[in-house]
Amino acid sequence: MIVPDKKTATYLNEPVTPKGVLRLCRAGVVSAFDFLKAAALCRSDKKWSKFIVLILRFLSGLSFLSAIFFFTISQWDFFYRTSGFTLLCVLFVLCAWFRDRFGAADYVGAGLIGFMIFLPDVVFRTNVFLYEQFFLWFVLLVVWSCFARQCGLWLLSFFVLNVAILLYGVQFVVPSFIFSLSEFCLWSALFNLSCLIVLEKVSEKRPDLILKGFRFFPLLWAFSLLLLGCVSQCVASGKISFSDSCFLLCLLSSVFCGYVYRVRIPDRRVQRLVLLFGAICLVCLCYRFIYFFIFAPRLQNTLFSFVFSGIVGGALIWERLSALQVKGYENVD
Amino acid sequence: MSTDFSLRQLLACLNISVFDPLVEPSLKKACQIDAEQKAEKKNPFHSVFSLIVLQIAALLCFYGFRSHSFSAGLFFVLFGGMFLYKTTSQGYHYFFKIYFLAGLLLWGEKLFLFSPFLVAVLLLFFLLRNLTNPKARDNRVLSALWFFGVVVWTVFLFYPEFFSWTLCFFSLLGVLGLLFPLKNIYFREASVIFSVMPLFLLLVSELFCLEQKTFFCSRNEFLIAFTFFAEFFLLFFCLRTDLETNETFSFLFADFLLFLTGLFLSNGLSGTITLFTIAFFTDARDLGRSAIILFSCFLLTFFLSLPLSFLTAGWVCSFSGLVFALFYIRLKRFCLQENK
Repeated sequence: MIVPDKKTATYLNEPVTPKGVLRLCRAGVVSAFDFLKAAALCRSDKKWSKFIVLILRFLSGLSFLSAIFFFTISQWDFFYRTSGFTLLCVLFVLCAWFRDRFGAADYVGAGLIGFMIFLPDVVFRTNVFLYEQFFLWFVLLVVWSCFARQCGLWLLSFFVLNVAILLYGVQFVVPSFIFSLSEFCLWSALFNLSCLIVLEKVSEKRPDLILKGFRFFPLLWAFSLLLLGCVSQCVASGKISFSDSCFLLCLLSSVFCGYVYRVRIPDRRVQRLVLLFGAICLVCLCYRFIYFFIFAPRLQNTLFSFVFSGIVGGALIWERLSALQVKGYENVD
Repeated sequence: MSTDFSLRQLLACLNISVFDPLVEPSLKKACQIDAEQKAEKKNPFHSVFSLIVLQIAALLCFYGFRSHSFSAGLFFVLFGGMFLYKTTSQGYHYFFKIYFLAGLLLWGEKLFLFSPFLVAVLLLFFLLRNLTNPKARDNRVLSALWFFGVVVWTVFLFYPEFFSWTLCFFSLLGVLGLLFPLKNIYFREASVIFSVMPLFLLLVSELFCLEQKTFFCSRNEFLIAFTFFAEFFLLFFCLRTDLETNETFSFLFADFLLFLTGLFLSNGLSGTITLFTIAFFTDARDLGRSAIILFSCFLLTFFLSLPLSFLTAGWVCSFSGLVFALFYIRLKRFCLQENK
């Protein structure tokens, strides 16, 4: 009889996992034909039941939402009449009545507000500017969110406001040559960054008021607008202009946000967002530089793809190594 | 995902004695593999996401150098490979691997134009070489993926009548790998790729047919339905000694229903249900998630392919929602009873 050594004994006392069973098969301890038996012994039926229950809930929810969508499309004429609008009002009142009991009622109500704003324009073909409708929706959402239990409604309001601002730029500001697209993106991004600064100040004093992870979405929107400005400048050919300052602003923003969210207010998710933003910004800057200064098309493509792949790889390496560093600090603590 | 069982208890349940002198070297080897794989997990680039980024970066570089494929490929393979083997830093290793892979892709494309068969054979050689190395997980995944891609693309271009046969062959191979993990063969990643990718291509094919584009639309429905029937039957065959009589009949009946579903409704639906069942019995939750995502896509494609009005589509969706909700309520009640 062989007695296992200390190392093997410690290994044998470890809890079994699916990968552990596979390891035993590969080492030849368990035969390949006994693998399913071993997997059945190791399987947690409770966790699988929970998983399947979640899947069934997802599929039934998706099916019912699709059914509502198809019924709405098929009975679209109903909404052209007063009875259709009355039904929407009744549904809205029900959402307001049940919002304390069901969190989903808050979001359904927010959606119904938007539906009731856009429906008359579709029915009567008023050709009103979309940005006006979105601004109205934002104002009504703010009123609706004041009495809501769901902090996510404030995020939705913020999203609607940003869509309204973007549409305002695309439908009015840029066609009227008040600002160029990249300038408009710069100002919109600055607006989002100011909102973020205000939220950070409020969260310092009253953290209970602010949704966890609130800073992600204003930053995401600000970075998206800055990048839109950079991309539009990449596409525009010609001399260096004031709009090229968006590249400088992007780089400064990523450095500043990187410092703040790594050193002052550590937040891993935001750090990753800042890194992604910085990498995309660098790619846009390289594109502008290469296609502006270097003239042979083949060389331009070759150099750009080489630099692009280097930036992508470098960004991941930076992220992984800093994650490892953070893990090291956590282990030490 | 684990239970409270220890490995010792699991082996006892399987009538394997840890004191048996024949088992002792294998146990030591399992312990060694466990330690090696734990050490490999400490590598910060040991994740699927890092692998995907590696592949994307390599493809970007490959795309830019296609016009100088031989010279650039030589440069990248030589210098990338040299620095790859010389460096001890994990960061630099990852970085040079991108360009080494780009060099291989450049040469691979040139060779493919000359002889696709040779590329497939070379990839098979690398795949087989990596199957016996417990530490080469990334290389296994990449070689399996590229081998599948090259073979399927070659068959599609030059032997389109055998396209369905190729997909069925890979699917069956993948399922065999999932159900029978062999000694010293690390085939898990390749099995997952070979069982999921044919379903993904089937989905793309069904979407093309939805748009009524004949390109990539012809397939042998009976063969594919029979393959999924065979896979489900193989699972039943592995479990036959542990099933009671009524469970045996339920299994066989379910297999027959799946075959009919594949033949008359959608092969994708029966394939994904088969894959999910296999994932359940092999306790592979990630594979189960992939199967469910594919199932949802196939269900949507199936509904869109039906010649229905919007009103009828609404009723069909409501009915399916009701069916799922009934199963949900039934299973939830069963779980609550089990907890009591």
